[in-house]
Amino acid sequence: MENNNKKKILYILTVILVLISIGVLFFYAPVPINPGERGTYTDSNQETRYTTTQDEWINYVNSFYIAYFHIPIALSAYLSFSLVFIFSILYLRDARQKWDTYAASAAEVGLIFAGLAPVTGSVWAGAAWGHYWPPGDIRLNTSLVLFFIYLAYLLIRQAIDGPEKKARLCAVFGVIGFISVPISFLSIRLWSAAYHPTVIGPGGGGMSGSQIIIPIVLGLAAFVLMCISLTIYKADNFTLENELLSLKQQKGV
Amino acid sequence: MKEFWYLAKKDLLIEFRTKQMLNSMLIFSLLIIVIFNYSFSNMLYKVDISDIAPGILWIAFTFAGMLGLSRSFASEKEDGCLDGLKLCPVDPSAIYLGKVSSNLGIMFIIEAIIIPLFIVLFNFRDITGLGGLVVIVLLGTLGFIVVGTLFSALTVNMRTREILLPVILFPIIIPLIMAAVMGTQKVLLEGSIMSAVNEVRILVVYDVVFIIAALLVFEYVIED
Repeated sequence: MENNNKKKILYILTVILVLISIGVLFFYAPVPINPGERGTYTDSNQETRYTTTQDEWINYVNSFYIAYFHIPIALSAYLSFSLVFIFSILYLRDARQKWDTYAASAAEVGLIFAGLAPVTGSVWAGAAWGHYWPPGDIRLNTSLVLFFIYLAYLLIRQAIDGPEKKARLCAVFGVIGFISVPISFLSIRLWSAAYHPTVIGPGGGGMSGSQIIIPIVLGLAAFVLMCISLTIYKADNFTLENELLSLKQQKGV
Repeated sequence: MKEFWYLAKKDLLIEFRTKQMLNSMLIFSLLIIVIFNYSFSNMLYKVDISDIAPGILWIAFTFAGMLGLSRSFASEKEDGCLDGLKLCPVDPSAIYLGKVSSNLGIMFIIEAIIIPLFIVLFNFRDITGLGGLVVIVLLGTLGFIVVGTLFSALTVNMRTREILLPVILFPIIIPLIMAAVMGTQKVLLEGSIMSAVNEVRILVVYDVVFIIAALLVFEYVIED
């Protein structure tokens, strides 16, 4: 019972944080990067163009607000995937059903974030760089690969019948899939046109000022909490499903 | 660790007697190259061939390899051969390494036939950097087979294994294929393996990491 109360507190906290971060985004947050005096973007012919009309300029500046969602979503996708990796290793170590349940729920939640990251990214890229899918951009392509690995993971879950075998083979795929992500990042980098700014490192990619710290931290906290509560919620869901199944088998329904 | 060699020899012996997989893989990859040759026929006079050649070559290799991989463990299902293998007094990793070696052998034979045919069909006369090409093909094929053999064992007991194998294998080998294609292109353009040193580095890292990971998890894949 106490556990249930803790979960309720977590869920309520998540809802409040998400609402606050949306509110802050609309009424307080500044444009997260300094777009320069005139907006520039790269058009489809790889030429630098300047925004000309007032409308274009407003669109260009406003497009940067999506960063407050895009960055937390992308980070949540990576977080879910590391959760899948950790739970898979734990399952391979002692073969307890609960690790598999957690890994499966983390993968399902991660699939949503891994799908949303390229979508929000491509909307932003369309407005800011004039190109919905900048060819060879590292992070867009890595997050798409991540999305496909999640899909494959869930496909394997669907294809196997026995719960023990399903858990074991999925855990193996969770481990192998996670290892391939950093290598995939490295190899896509060979093709990179440097669209994404390097945020961590000298220069800081234009992110500066204390005003942006509050909305970005709020956004991160909201999305990470959302990711964790959804995973717990989904895991409870799976547990109930399994209980129902075993009850049905006992009664011979 | 000598056992794995016996297992590989067994697989290769069966393959050379029936030639089932060799024939269909060879014809399939040849067909892919011919289809590309037709569909890009307008382009072939306009662009530099070394711009599109690496992509076509690696698509042919991976698609043909997929045919072989999906049969690799499935053929052991007949008459309970897989159970017999598991009963052998050998380490599970020996079974895995044996399968990797026999699959590698078959892939190398296919590639050794396909590359000369490719040179003829695409009129690739002034070919340079053949030595570098060999290095990249060897490293790329090794990584592809290492992951592919593991997944072939993983899907062997599933109902939809033929459909599932490519779907789960391709996302994992994307980094490998990208590095291999880039490396092949650089070697063909500049003629020296030194120009593709970054790609070779990624290929080596990929191969080493996945051989170790596969050896660690393989026993979980075939236990039941």
